[in-house]
Amino acid sequence: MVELVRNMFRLGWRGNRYSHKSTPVPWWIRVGFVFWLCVGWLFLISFCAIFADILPFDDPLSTDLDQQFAPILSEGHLLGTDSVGRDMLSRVVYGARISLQLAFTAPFISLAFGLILGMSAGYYRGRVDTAVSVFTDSILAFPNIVGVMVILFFFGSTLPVMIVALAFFGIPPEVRVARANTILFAEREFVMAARAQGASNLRIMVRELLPNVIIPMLSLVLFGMSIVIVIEGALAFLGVGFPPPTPTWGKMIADGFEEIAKAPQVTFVPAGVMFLTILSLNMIGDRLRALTDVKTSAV
Amino acid sequence: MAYLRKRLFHLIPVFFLVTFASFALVDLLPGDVVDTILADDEAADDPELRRQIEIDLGLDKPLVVRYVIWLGNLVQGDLGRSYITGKKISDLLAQRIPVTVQLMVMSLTFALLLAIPLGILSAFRSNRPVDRWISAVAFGIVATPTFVTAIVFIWVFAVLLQLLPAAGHAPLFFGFWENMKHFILPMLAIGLSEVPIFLRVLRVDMITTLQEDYIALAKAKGMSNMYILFRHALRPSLFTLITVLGLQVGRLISGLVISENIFALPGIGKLLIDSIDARDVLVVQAIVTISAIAYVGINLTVDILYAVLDPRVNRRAEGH
Repeated sequence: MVELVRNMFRLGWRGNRYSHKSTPVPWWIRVGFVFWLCVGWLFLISFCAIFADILPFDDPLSTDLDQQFAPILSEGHLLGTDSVGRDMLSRVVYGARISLQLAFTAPFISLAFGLILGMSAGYYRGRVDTAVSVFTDSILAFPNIVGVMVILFFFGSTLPVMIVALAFFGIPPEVRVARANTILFAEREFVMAARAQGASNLRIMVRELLPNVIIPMLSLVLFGMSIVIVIEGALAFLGVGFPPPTPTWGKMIADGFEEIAKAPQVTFVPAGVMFLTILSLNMIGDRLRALTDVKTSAV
Repeated sequence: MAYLRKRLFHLIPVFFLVTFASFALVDLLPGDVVDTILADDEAADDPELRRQIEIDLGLDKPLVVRYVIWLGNLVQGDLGRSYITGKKISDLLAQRIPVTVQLMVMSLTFALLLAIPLGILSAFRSNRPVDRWISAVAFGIVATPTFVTAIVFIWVFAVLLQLLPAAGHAPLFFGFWENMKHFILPMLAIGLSEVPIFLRVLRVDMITTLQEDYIALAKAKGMSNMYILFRHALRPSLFTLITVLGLQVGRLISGLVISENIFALPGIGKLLIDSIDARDVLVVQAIVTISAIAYVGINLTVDILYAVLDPRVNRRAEGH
């Protein structure tokens, strides 16, 4: 504990990204105090969302017209109430369910497809590479918010459709990083050695390349999670997300926005929760990238 | 020209794939195409209209043949007719495009005017307090979705300070300022969300450039920092930024859709949401197609610009 505090003072609370210049410090201190704050926030949100039915939250849908626009920290309503007296805290928690369900599915599906496509492109090069890049560039031609919106419009606003749509538009960045890392590692000695021993292409890709390629991509998954949350919020805000009465952060912001002059907190509470969640995901992703960066960890 | 040829060969299949995907969307739907196009309109029971649509769209022909005909019409600027409003889709789009283009140009200009000086400053003072602060603020902006930025601006400038209108549009004949007034907040909202990306890209390239020998030489000759930064270091550091500019068009279009709807600006993005609400399938399809083509077109322009500005890319492409 004493060492932790001392290290925190020495490194500053933002952590030290250049630790290879100083004495070795364990990674969990190197990432800095803010990193653990962000992890804590995500745990808090996830915990509340998972156990929302057991924990003593109000019903997010029950209205109370005597309690309209209760301010933050008012009796019985920690985060106040909205225009029809629904408890903001429980709405935020139930809204987190939608966001987290999307965040913990879509980016991982993107990761799987991105790995398959990107590693094939980087390993075989040539025609496979060309075909994959035409495919990913075609996905990029559809702006992700517009793309997801249109797929929801055509196939119906349900959770599975939304997950598939978000996963599909999350593929291109995963492919790019998987491809670049595959090219980088395919030239290395251990791959040559495996090939000399007569390992098949598939075996080389799965046993030799995959463990190396997947590590730098984990930070990308975290960025993917934050993008998914933003897209869901934007769609709900524009009124093309899930049908009512599902509470989502985007819809809460949209509802509050109508009364922003009267009660700004109804808009800014869900907006703030969303901001902190995205910030945490980005911060953790950023730190993980700094830790796993191929350039800084000795190649 | 080796580089350009390579890019062109790449973008041609992309063009066909995206247009085909947009076209096939309507066909992929479960159920009858005519029912989908007419949505819940009461006209859906009119057999005359149904036959008319079948003839117009050539529904008796196979998908690929219809795609070729549709693409041929598209290239000539004929996007068909909306069966919900009865208007020509090309006319609908033509009315809306000026607003969207104006907003797009204004936001990009604003983003670049903010990002370039800040990027240069960040690189010049890299890892110093100024750079750290700029990075921290940029990190915060990245974590704020465009629609939240827009809300914050509306709350501050329209509700609290009452300086600017929260929503609406005034065509140019109401006067220049009257027109501009409605564009400032959406411009700030979209532009600001683009700044961190441009900033980061420029900063990294600029730091690399500043380590070149010719910069040291310029310093040794006693040139001022300003002169070195803007005249010697900026141009060779701009190339990644230009590429990213092309790739960011997608994000920009998403931002336009969001802002136009929040600020009630009658552009393409507003039309998209209105058409989704009205279940006007053909208009939605047309907008998706147009925005995908715009993306491909803008990236082709970026490639051309790139080849013209940086003679090194051609040599590199020939070398491989």
